[in-house]
Amino acid sequence: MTDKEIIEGLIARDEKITRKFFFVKCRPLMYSIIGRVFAFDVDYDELINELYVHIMENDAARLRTFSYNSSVYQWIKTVAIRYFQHKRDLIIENQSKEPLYIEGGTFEPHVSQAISMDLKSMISRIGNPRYRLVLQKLLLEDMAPEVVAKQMHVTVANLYNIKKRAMAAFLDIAKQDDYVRRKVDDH
Amino acid sequence: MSEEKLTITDELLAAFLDGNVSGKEAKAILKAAEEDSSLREFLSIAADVSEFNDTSKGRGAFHKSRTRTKN
Repeated sequence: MTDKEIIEGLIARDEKITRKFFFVKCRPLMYSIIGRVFAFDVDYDELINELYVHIMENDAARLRTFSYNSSVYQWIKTVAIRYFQHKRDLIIENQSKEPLYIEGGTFEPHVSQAISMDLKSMISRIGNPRYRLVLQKLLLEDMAPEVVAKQMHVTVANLYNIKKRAMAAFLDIAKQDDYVRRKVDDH
Repeated sequence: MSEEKLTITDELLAAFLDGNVSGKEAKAILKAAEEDSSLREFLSIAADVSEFNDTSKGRGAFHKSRTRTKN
């Protein structure tokens, strides 16, 4: 199925496409996200159903405005993470009557102590030189994929795959920074 | 004159994860993440579940925001 077929099928509430893509293909991803977001017991399937309702709200307005700047799978992943984060925060807020602050401080990180998430330095810390080069060309120099592919003597499709792996490496760096930042904020 | 602030939408973040944003957009996202713990958590979770990246053939190419030509 192409992304266009998936989007159109979801909008049309096509039972086969909805089940095959959303409830079967995306299920392992959803389970992984829910497991990562919630530190307490939740009903996984109920949350996935809620997410489906969220996506289909207002006559599937979100899907109708999908602009294909990412794969639909990546978009679903993004929407799912943010939705479950929001859901978790609401649950915590509703369950606790305690104020969301502590005396003498807040839960918000101290921006002044924040480690700068500088794009250039983060890319430079990626171990694989090929990944570094791809992100440097695409993100820092804002070069067109066709030009980068030609320079690297690969096809655009191959460059796309290299870039996807490079982004995963990049996100690992961002994750490490966030871990260090939280450690700093603890003090 | 200050730069126009970029709204961090789900679509923009998804494009970022797919590497389909400009350098300016990527910098705006990372700048926003400096000040937004929820966005930092989002990036962390996205990294954790990156093994679930789409493996379907799809278009097998860059999405439209990256198809412009720049020399």
